[in-house]
Amino acid sequence: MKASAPRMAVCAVVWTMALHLPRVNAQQAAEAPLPATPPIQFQVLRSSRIDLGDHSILINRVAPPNLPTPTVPATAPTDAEIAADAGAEARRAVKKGEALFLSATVFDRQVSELRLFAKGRDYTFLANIDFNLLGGMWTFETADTAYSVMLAVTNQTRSEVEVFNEWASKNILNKAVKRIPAPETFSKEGSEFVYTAEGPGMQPPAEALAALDGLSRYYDVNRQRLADDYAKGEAARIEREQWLKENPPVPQDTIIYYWKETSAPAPAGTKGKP
Amino acid sequence: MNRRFLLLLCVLALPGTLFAPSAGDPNEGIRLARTGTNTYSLSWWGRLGRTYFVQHSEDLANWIYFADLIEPGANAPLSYGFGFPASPPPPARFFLRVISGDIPPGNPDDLDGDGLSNADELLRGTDPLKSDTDGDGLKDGDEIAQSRNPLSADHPHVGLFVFGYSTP
Repeated sequence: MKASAPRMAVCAVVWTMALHLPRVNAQQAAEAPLPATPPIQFQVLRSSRIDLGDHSILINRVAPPNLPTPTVPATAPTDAEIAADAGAEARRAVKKGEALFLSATVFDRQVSELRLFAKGRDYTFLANIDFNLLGGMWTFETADTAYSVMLAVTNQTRSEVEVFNEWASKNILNKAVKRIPAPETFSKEGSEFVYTAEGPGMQPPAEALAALDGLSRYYDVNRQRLADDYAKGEAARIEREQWLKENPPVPQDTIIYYWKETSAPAPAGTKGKP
Repeated sequence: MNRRFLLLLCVLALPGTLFAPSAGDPNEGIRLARTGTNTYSLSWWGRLGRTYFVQHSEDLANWIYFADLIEPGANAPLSYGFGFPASPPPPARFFLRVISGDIPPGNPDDLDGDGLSNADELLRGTDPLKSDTDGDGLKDGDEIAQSRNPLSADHPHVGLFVFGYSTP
């Protein structure tokens, strides 16, 4: 993400992270050993209650408790750590960062209509890519560029499109408004993007085409892994939906304690950089 | 005024686990460590020239500031502990978000320049990074000065229309 990117764009990145981190956490949590700690007696300094309608949250500022397991404050990476990661650092040094703003409508999990926002306008492509599989991706790299991806995905069936086309042909434009090509019309070698609005002054910027080229390669190389991850995620989602159906959540009050932890002094050699 | 805001997010999908930052992580090295049965440690790198706030949410839609959590960065780690009692049980999911803003020239205690200090905004429930929390066109500080509610768009919008014509 460029530092000058608009605030909303930053929010979008965060949102994407939030949607996918819980899945990772659940898996890791199953492997994480649970520290055995006795109940903590918190000394409440200040309290405030927030009413959320069906339940409330009681927030207590407390004195730092004497936790059996000392917490580890964050530290910026030291020069030694950065040096140890010299390969990554070198890559970062030569690669430029670009933000890629995409939204995709996937038809029958086969063909997608992709809208790419670049240089103040949208460019629409058709692709033989199931963008559902890329829903969890927020970065990818090419030889010279590291892309931060903001991708929104929706799904439609061909029959839904046909119903809309029929309605639109009678009521709006007197013609069908959307044609979804068959998957067979695309390249059989791999993923392919077809630009849908060729014309004078309508050519997408070269940078946008380069980004799609990189995305295409990323998809082709990682397709099986992406499909496996998506299948696992869907299975977990269905399982959770079923569990929630059988165990509907009952709104309950929440109590939160928070306290400032003692921070360690800045490690030598950090020079203030994270 | 050039202000940049940065949002960093940690997710406590309870029971949570450890996020290990990697060297050169651009997100202030933020990480969440589990420190006990129902306790967690949120820590990040406090950069000089930035001010940090923390919000929490149960649904990712409604975010609530911790009312007295304001931390100026000083090129040193910042760390907060969070805990839940055994009863009532902790929420199934709980999200934390660290927000920071560049300290603007002028008054560092009023990041959004609306006339209310950051601390005052947290106590009143207004957004310290948004000069007009309720979006009614009046700055939060002006609303307080006029005995209006900065959390409710009760200010009547006034439109100004200018018509012009010319005679041949």
